[in-house]
Amino acid sequence: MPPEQFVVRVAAQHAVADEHFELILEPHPVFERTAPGQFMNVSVSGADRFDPLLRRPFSLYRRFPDGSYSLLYRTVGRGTRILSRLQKGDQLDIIGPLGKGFSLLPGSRPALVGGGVGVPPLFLWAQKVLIHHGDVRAILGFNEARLAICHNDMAELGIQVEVTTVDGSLGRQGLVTDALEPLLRAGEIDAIYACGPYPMLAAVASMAKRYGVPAQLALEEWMGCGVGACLSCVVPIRNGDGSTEYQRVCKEGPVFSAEEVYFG
Amino acid sequence: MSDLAIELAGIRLNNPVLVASGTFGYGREYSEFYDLSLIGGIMVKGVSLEPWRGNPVPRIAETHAGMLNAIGLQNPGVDHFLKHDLPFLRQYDTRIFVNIIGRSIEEYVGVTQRLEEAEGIDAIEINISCPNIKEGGIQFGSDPRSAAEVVAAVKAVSSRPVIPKLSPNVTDIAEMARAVEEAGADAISLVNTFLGMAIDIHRRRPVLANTFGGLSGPAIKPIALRMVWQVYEAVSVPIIGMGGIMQWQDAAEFVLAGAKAVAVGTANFTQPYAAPEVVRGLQAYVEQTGIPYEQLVGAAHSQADNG
Repeated sequence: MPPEQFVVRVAAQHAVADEHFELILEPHPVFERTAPGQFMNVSVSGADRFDPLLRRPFSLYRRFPDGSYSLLYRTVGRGTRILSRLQKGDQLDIIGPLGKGFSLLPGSRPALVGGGVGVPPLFLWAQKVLIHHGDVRAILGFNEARLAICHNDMAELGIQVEVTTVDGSLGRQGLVTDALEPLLRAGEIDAIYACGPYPMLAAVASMAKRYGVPAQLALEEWMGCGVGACLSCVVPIRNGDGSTEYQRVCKEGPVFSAEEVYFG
Repeated sequence: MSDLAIELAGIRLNNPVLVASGTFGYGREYSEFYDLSLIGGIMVKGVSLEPWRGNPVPRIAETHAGMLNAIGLQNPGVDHFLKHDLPFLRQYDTRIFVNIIGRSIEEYVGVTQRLEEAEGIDAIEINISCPNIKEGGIQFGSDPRSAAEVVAAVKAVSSRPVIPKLSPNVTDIAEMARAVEEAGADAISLVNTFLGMAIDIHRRRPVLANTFGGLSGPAIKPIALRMVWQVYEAVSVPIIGMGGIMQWQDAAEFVLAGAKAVAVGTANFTQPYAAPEVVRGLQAYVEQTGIPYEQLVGAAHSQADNG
């Protein structure tokens, strides 16, 4: 189904960790037809205002029983700081759903592997689909405890969560791959869905390949239009003959199969 | 309903609102939002003789009320365009302006010759102004003699109107316009993006992988408008004005400065309906003023106090 531009009202907003907010939006039909992993392109400047100019891409974080959905984001720049000031009743101009979401891999012991603000896009996938198809495990990595997000929501959903932090202030000290490798070696994971910074995804992809476990990666790249027209958000994808070609994260992605992404 | 139909370089447009090359792909993405017949014409993304890979990422950086891009003219090449994109575009009642790119005059001529084999193309827009590739592009667009050479060479093999797209990264835009007019340009597009850059202060390096990029968006509108004004006074061929048009009021300014047609560019990225909304707004403006559209073109010049 094609994307559409729509306006939705803010239901609530609250802080979930240092520098992180959950923005809850009133129910809208577009949200219901959004596949987990697809994204919304959100105008942060409002009608007739052109600064900040570009929309911001966000995946939906989770669905509430009343049909409202939320975005979970970190305040990293001008756009997200503006978003963080929105209150109940404010309106948000959104284009969505955009891109291609996750698809179900075979296997009954899937793992979600997320790093930082790459964690939120995984939750809706687990909530809507994955949880009904197996025993879901999550390995979530953060720099430090104050930036940890989503781990409690995931545990409440019945997901077995392991947290890693770079400084050891929460969970296991180290990177997500430090926690992932023993599980792969023990054969306790048979599918991976990952989202996070590029170095993490590169490491996860190579680990998945080594243990022969299929993986899907949700990529992030700076976007202009979000609909496939501007060719800003490209990623090198392997062709069959060993060469690579640029594909659009916003259109052919953001979810790609791990073996097709060329990490250089 | 007032009639916005115009004739430009021998082409009849249903209305004077186009979409700018590089901001609209080959039409498919925005056809999911509206009927492309609502806009006067589509200036397709630059087409080269062979496929071009484009630049590494990051290719885009946001700036205040603007954005920088350094895509590097990634495109699948003229054969792919003719086979897959042109038939799609021809379904619509809109004019098709094929933007051509090359690294040498021979490549510009080569693409034009391939396009000659196809039907349904209304005009050739020559990109001699892309700031993001080292060879070709801007090298032709920053020197009047080179620009004239490209225009004359393409004109010699094209049965269709030839429209060079000028770079604003020059000292004297009027001189460039006069040079391409003398070389046979049937109309002139201006402006392309302004060369700029942004630096990531945390990593202490340029944001764009290409270091420099082209600035577009509302931030450039006053400069683009001034250049359209100057070119209107310098040449007699029609002008397609562009540069930061976000809404119909911006388009009306370009028309009053001398643009016979306008192109919506960066606004497509943020407001997919921007171009048809500009059409609607201009229509209402013409009705409200009671002045026929063609009389509005350049109308601000006679009102200006140049003393």
